[in-house]
Amino acid sequence: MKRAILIALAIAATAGIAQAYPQYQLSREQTCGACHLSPTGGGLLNDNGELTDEDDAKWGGDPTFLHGAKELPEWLHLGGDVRFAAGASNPGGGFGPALFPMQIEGHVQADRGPVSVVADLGFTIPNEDTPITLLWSRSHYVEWHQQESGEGLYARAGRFMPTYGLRLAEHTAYTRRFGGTPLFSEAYGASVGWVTPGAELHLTGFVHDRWQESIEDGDGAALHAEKRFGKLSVGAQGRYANGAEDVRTQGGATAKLWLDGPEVLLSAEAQVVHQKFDAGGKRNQAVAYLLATWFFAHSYFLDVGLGHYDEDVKVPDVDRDTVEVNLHWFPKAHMELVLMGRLQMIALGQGGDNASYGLVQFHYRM
Amino acid sequence: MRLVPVLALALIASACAAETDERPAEFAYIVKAILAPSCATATCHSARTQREGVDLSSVAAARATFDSRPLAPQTGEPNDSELLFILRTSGEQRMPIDGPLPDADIALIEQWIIAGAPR
Repeated sequence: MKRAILIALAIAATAGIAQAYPQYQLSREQTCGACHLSPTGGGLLNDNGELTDEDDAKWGGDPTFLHGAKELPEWLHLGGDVRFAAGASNPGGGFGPALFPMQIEGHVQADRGPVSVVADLGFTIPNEDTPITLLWSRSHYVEWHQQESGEGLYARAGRFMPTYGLRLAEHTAYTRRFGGTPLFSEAYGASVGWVTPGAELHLTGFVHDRWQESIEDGDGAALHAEKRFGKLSVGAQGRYANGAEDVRTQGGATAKLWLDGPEVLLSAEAQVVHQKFDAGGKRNQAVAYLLATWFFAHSYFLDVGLGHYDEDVKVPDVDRDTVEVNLHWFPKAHMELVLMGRLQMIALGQGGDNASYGLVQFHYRM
Repeated sequence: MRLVPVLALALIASACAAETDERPAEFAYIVKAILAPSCATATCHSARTQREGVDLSSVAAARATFDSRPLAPQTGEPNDSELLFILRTSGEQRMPIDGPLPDADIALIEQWIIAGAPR
């Protein structure tokens, strides 16, 4: 049982909390704000997002807050996400059982004209000596948006994750943890952006959390820009963080391509991360991800992802590769089941033990 | 678009890495380059969670952790190291528990321990 709990903690640590389904961005809508209240995606759904949830569900259902049991005033939006997973995991020393919560979190947004106050509150693994750390608000910020649709200009100030990368809901093996946006690395900052169906730009300046420990210990800035050419989207991004003991400078590109015929979306991200250590030494890391998503039937889609991480491009046999398969099923509005499998290799099996897991994830959106 | 060939070159360089490991077998480097990214994750050995009282999020925190438990006693003897044991064992205590470190990283840590684990 102890092993199951430990594995649970580790996978929860690597999992990341779902942000959005960018898979829909080119296949259906062009912007995150088409389905989410936030122009950068993630969190609460808007009316169109809820209708998409209903349409995608095998057996439909009322997609609104608490299945329509409670009608909210127009200015108030409430929601939440609960995720659990179970299965088996092999961290390199053999398979063991795994059963654990991934996310238990509530969201609130209050609007007054073009200004919104947004916050979340959730549970996480606490510090054994400080039980209050069981509660955690990853994000709380004030946002102004030019248009209700989320298109046009927006500005944000508070605690949030700087917009960066593909922002996949999939629990990518390397691109988030080593690519600048690991779980619980939200920071205080200010962001401005511009979002249209043809292009978007997000610029964030941030400082690390001085009050609560965060995975991000640096102060810096992040830039993500994306331009769409029909069913092709290409993006460029850069990030700088001056931490207590190192400086990280990174840059890369993203791309998405929707293939109408087979109904497949290809998504890719590649980055180089230069890290300079205050105590001496430096290194260049490479991190990349390629994801193919196949919408093969109503209420289903299948992901096959290839991940690569090299912790130092000058050092042999410290590169890692992974193959991931995720099958998503939406049986009813608010509900999602995901079959997740992953195999990780070091130096293609020559640099250490392989690791793998097979899990079923249950997701309920309030 | 110049970024694309730069990234491609970096990934190719990643695939054609040098044949020698010239990284410093030093405590600060090992903590920041190897232990913190793989072990100081949100719900494990981060400054916030500190599972089992182990904080590997920074050099200072790791130093305090290493000073308070036999992760790497300064005897120069790898067999005395709890850290090497949990990185290499195949049982329930294997760490990191979401995937092992590369053998090359473990060898670098062992080299530091043989040198007396200075910190």
